[in-house]
Amino acid sequence: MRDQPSQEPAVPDLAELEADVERRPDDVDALLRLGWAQYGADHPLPAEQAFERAAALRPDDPEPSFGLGLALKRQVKKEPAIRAFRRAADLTQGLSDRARASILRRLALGHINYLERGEWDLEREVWGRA
Amino acid sequence: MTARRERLAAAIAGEIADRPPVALWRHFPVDDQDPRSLADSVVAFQRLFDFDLVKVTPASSYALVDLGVADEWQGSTEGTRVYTRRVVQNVEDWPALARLSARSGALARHIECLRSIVREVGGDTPVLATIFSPLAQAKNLAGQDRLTEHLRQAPRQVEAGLSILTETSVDLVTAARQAGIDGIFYAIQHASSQFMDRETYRRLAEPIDRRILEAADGLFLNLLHLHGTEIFFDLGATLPVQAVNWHDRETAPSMAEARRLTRRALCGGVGRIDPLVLGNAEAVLGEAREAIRATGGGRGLILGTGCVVPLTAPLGNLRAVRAAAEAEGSP
Repeated sequence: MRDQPSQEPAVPDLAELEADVERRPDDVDALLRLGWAQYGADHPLPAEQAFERAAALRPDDPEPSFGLGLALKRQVKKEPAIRAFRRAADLTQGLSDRARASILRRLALGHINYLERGEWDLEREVWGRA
Repeated sequence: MTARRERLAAAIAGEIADRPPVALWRHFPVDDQDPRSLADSVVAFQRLFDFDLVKVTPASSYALVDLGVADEWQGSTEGTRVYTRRVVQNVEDWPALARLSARSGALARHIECLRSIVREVGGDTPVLATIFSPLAQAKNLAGQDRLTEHLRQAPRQVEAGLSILTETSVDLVTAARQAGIDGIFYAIQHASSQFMDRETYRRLAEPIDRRILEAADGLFLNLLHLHGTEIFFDLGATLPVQAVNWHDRETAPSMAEARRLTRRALCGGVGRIDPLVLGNAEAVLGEAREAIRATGGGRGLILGTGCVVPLTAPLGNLRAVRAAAEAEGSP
């Protein structure tokens, strides 16, 4: 028996998310939704633009900077990506959810390591050994 | 290369490491009648595909055989067994159910199976034990029609039985923790409008679900499985788990909609019949890509399927799920 497919769209509707941002240009959550959807659709340039706007509007939140780092990394914009990941790692100190802060910081450092040395090199961060 | 546990920790936090973690699981009919052979088969399957977690899939009767049920595999391609003897016939049978101990009998043998799997593949590969919800166990003890009838006729008697099954399940979770598991795969089969309305589920079953998940609190990855169609995803997604698995290719919500509804990690993405059984590697890759896109590049995604992989799925298609994650990842 075949699966009965779900009737809901399988991927986010980019036009709808863009319209949402147009209606509420200062809504950081709408910008983040658009940024992640563009990143998921492999459109790193519009993703970068959405994350950049979100980062400017919510400068203390590591998520826009982390998304920006990923979008820049996908475009092989190495130095700006490293700067974005470094900012994301620094901003995790302000997160109240310590588990999420710890993971985000490790991931940001891993991406920096990968961009600089081609290795995640998280041994010390993840396993506590140098 | 990022470690498996780190990949999963990233998914639990709603993020992605080098790629989405991947996990598939299946039944092992016949082998699942002996804890040693089940452990051997689970370990062999893991060594073949190198998934990011191991979900141990025993027969649904594993916690019920000492209550007197009998079942047999009659060739189902999902590897599930058919119940040939039920133990609840009358409403009076519910409060008379025995409270089992995980230190003896079939439950203790299953704990030994878990311990053996943890010893063989554990460490960086989290091992999850399947715990069927007491309502799912009740269905297997009585049959769905009789359970429904008894819930109408004598709800207090059924609730007394559910309470006994809950305590046995809590004991099972405690023993499994001691055996070294990293989480439970908590299988709910009745959070669906096909069986009851939302309020009834909330009143009858949710406190039980919470009691069992409380026993698993603090484990690395407790994965909630919402079985079937027309599920109460919103209700299930409020339970204290790190990740949710459901038949996302067969029922609402879609992966994209689920991402909007919850920040929990989402497990699924690939249809388990089509394309896993009927399709080819290219079709598997297409669905995996869609799931990765639906989650903003694989954030908070554990790539897999909505339920057990059928025994008839081509091995190449299972390898393709893993390859898809690697191809679509962001090193």
